[in-house]
Amino acid sequence: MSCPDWSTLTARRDQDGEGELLWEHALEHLDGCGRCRAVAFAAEPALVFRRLPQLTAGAEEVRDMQRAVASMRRAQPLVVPRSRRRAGRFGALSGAQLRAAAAAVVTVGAALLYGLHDRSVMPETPAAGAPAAGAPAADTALPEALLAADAAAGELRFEIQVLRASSTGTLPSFLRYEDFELLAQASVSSSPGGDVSSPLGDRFTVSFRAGEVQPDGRLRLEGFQIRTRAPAVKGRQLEPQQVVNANLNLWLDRPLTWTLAQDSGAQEALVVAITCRQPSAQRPARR
Amino acid sequence: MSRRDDSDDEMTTSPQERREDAPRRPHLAYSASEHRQRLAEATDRELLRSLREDDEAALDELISRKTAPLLQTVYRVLGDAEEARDIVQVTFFRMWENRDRFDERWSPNTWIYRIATNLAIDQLRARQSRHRYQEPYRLHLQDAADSQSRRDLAGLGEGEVMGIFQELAAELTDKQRTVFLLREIEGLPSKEVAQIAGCRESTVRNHLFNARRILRQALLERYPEYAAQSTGETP
Repeated sequence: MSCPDWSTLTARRDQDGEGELLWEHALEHLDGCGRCRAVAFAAEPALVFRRLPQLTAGAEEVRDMQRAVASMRRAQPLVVPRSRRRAGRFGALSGAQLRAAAAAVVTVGAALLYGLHDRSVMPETPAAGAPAAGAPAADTALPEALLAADAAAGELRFEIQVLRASSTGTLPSFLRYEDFELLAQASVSSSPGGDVSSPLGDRFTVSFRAGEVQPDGRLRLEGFQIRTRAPAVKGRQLEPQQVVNANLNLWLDRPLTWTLAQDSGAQEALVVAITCRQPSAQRPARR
Repeated sequence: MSRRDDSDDEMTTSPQERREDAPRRPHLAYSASEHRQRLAEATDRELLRSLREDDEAALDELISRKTAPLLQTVYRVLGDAEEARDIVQVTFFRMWENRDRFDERWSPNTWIYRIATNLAIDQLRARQSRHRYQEPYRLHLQDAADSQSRRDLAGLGEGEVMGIFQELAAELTDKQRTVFLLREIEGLPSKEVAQIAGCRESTVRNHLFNARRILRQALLERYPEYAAQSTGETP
C-alpha cells in the first residue's frame, strides 16, 4: 500500500462507514511506516494518544484478581441480624455498593468517628471526669508533636473501627443509616512493608501488609482481611468467617469508610473505617 | 451441571470400565480438571451461559481472559493503575451478581465493557480531581522540552502521553472520552462502541469527531512546542 493522503483521510473519516474503514487501514499502515509519521501527526495531532501506555496483566495479576473476586462473592454474614429486623445478610458486598453506600454514610460515620456517637452506646449519666463511651482513646488526645517524637521513623499507625449501621427509615431521603453502634476498634502500628495481624475487639481479627507511602500520600494495603474470631456455640467451635478480603488504597490522615450491605436497600450494614497516620512524617497535601 | 467435589480431580471413566471395575474404582461423575479444560475451550458466550448456572469456574475463566484488556481500557480512562485494578475487580463481581441479566442479543464483550466503562466513569466523576493532572504536567513537559533540542509528538514517552491525555481529556464529556478510547485507541468496531456507550453508531461518530477536535485544539494550544516541531518534519 502506498502512503495515504492524510489530509484527505482526516476530512473523510467521520463522514461515513467507508471513510471510517479507509482511516482504519491508514492507521494500520502508519504503524509500519516511518515516512508517514510526521505527516500523519501534523494532519491529526491526536494520533499521539494511540501511544497511551499499556497496563500488562501477567498470570500473578490474574490469580490475584480471581482471589479478590472470589472473596467478594463468598463473604459470609458478618453480624447476626437482630430478630426484630429483616434477616438480611451483610456479606454479599459489592465494591461499587461499598463505594456508593459509603458516600451516603460517610458524613455520619465520620461524625461518629470524630466524637459524636450512637445513643445506644452513650451512658446516660457519665461520671464526672470519666470519658464518654466512644470518646477518642487517651493517646489520640496527646499533642501530635509528642506522638511524632514517640514514633519510629516512617512508622504507620492504623485506626480501624467496625460499626453496625442501621436505619429506622424515618429520613431515608437524607440519611441512609441513622444509628451507628461501635462493635470493635483497634489501633495497630507497622513499618511500611510490614505485616500486621491483630485482634479487632472481641469479635474480629484484622491482618494486612502495609505498602510504602507514595509521594502523594497514598498507601496500599495488600491482603486486607477482617475475619470473625472463632466463637464456641453450645460447646462447638465455629470456623472463623471472612468479612473482608481486598487490596485497598487509602490516603494518609483520611478515613476510608466501607459500608457492607447485602443490597442497596438493606436496613442494616456493617461499616468498616480505616485511618492511617504517619506521625513522623510531614502531612502531605490532600488531593 | 452437577458437581461433586473439586478434589475429584481425576479422569472420568467410561460406562464399560465402570462395570468392569465397579467393586474397586469409584464412579466419578465430575472431573474438575476436565471441566476447566472444557471452559478454557468455550466461547465467551458459552462461559456466560455457564455463569448463569452459577458455575464459579466459568467466572475464573472469564477473569483470566478479560483481566488484561479490561485493565488496559480502564487504566486509560482513569490514568491510575491502582484505581483501574479496583474497578476491574468490581466489574467481575458485578458480572457475577448480574449473571441472570446478560442479554443473549449482545456480544459478551459489549456487556462486560459496558459494566467496566460505566464503573470507570462513575469513579472519574467521584474523583473530582481533574486539576491535579493539569498544570504540573504542562510545566514538567515544558522543562523537558527546553532541555532537549529535538522532540516532537511522535517522540513523546508513554508516561508523558498519559499525562497529557489525562489533562486534555478533562475537557471531554464522559461519553466523548469513552468513545474516543474504545474506538480510536482500543480499536473496537463502531457498532460495539455504540452498544457499550448506549447510543447509535451515528452518535458514536459524532462523539468521536468532537473528541478529536477538542483534543487537537487543546494539544495545539497547550503544547504548541511539540505540535509545531512535528509539522512537516521528516524523522
